[in-house]
Amino acid sequence: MRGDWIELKAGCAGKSVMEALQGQGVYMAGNCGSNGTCGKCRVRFLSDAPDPSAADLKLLPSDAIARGERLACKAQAAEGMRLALIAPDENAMKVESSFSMPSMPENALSEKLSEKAAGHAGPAGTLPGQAVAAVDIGTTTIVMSAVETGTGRILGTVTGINHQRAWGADVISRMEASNQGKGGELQQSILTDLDELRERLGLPADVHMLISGNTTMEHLLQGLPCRTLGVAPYIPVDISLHEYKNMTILPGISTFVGADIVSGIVACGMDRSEEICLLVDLGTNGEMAIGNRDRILSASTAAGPAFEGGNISCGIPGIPGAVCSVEIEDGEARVQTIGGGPAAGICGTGVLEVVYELLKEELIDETGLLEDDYFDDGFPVAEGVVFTGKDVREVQLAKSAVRAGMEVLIEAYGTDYDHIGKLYLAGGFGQKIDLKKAVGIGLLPEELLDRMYPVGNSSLAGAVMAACDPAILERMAETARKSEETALAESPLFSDLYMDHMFFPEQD
Amino acid sequence: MSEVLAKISEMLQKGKRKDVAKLCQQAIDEGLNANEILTGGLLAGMDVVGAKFKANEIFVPQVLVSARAMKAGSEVLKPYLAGEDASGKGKIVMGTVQGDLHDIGKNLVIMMFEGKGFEVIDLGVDVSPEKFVQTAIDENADIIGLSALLTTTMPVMGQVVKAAEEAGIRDKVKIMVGGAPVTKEFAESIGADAYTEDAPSAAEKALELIGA
Repeated sequence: MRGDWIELKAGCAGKSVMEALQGQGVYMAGNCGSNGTCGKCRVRFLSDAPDPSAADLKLLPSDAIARGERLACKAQAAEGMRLALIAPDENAMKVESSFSMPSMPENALSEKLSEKAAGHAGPAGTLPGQAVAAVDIGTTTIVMSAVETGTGRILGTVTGINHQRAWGADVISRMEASNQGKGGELQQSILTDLDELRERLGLPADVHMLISGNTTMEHLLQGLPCRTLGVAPYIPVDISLHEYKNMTILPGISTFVGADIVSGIVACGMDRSEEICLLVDLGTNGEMAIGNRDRILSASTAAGPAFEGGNISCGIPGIPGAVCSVEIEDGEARVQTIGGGPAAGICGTGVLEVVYELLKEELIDETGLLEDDYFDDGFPVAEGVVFTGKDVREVQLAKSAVRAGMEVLIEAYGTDYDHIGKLYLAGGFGQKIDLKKAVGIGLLPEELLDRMYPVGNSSLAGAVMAACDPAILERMAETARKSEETALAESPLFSDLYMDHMFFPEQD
Repeated sequence: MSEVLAKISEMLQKGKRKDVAKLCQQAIDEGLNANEILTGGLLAGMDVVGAKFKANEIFVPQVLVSARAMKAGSEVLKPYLAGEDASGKGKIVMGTVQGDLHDIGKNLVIMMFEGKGFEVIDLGVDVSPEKFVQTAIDENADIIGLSALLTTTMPVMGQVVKAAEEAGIRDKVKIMVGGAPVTKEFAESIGADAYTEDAPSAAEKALELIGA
């Protein structure tokens, strides 16, 4: 439990407790889009808790219900109710703002940039006149850098939560919220977040911003309807390179392969490279692209949020107290948590590590079956934190979707592992994981282990590069235009590989 | 129970397609009744598979290989089942709703339905409400099964219920819904007959719905 008791104010009748909290400015993540299916938005009522909802009865332990705990999205609000938040405070989430591009001749610019970005972070003082803001709008987090035009110097970088999480953790639930008439609120939410970050950087209100984000984030930012995004054939409204208010909206390839990936492709120099490279974002939407200066092919795969701690019974975001590293010996787990305090749950890297260790110790077999001793109650990772058989299944689904997606993309491009020069791993997760362990559970292919390059926030890197060189914008527009997308859902090969890779590789 | 039937069930659980086919032929040659082989061998094996999947002891790929083995066995039995109503349990029209291309869950449910002896007409993915209803009419189906993975495509399930009402077949056909974002409350709100959490429960529920 965190913070003080909160009292619901007048005017909340007819709303859910979550809506009422949001209405009075209390942020709370609604991971499943208030569908009553994820069980993460727990609150505790001081007294007079409402009758438990069907979702409460299904997802909460009976002792928690007896203590007055309920899911905020399914509890009816009433004035004067007093409650406390139990869901972890996400404002402490560690956000990936750094990026590092491997040195390669055609990519000299981004290399120079990463050196300068090394000493980033922290609000800047007074900034010289000619600064623009380079922004990566992620579904979960936002990163903004102040970039001095002309020199390309990064003057400061700040990060924050994307408070649209109140309407759902993934892009699909945001689309659905927009479909239900909440588009205006979602737009206001992101504009407020951008304003707050801009102020922390000390930039003027009318500063020019370069926006790199996935297609849904860019649509919501501009108040565009999302109705056609969430149903096949998934047609976006506008993913061109264009201006909106004081912003340049960077171009995307499709509904599921957005500007963040185009930024990554250009930042890694794939569009100029002779050798064939692969870029994979190990996030919920599993976006990936393969190619070189002649041709680029992209895809996205429904990996789900397991590697962000989502759909995992004790899963939490990467906040203080999250188990991020695990070692198991003789059935005993030794863990490290973010911040070093007591374990509050397990985040994405911890999820990967615990599965790797369980495999190594033969506590799960290659089919994913958890050892008898732990089958019923899960494996104890730390005090109050378990990893269940169902959690293992979630990881199997996620890693298999990514791996099968990569292999279909490589096949569709007409090449193989031997001819891939580099595998770039985009995003914070790719930067924090132990690559050998990722290979060990079959998420990434062993064949490419000697040429994997975690590049960090390559979406931000692209926006920063575009901020100081208009030619980069041209390259992005061209990349978006010439990239094709391959639909994995329609590929019989994908179905086969998805099944094949659901099992774990044999351990050495 | 005959030894060969127990063996069929065992091999099916292991997903041994060739062995299952061979054993089914052997059972026929031994003079066993095809329906008996189906029920006591193949379906009995799939029952165990379904139960283990539900208990999280086995996972999707293992169910898939067992379902393939069952198919191989059914192929052998088919000519001998002629004349008898092989699909005695009833007919189910199944697909993912319009706008949704994710079919892994739907395919699992089909395996479980078939494992309980239902005949399933698989309409595939991205199926319009009209097509569900028209197929149900043409095939005289007992149940329409709807699958959706996305919250954005879930509302189409309600449209199928309406279309069935408008076509005047709502009293003849039961409608079942499922998929990751679907809940019991949602199913009730659109007037569907049943929601289940997982594929094995869906097959049990289907039996219950048609009173078999």
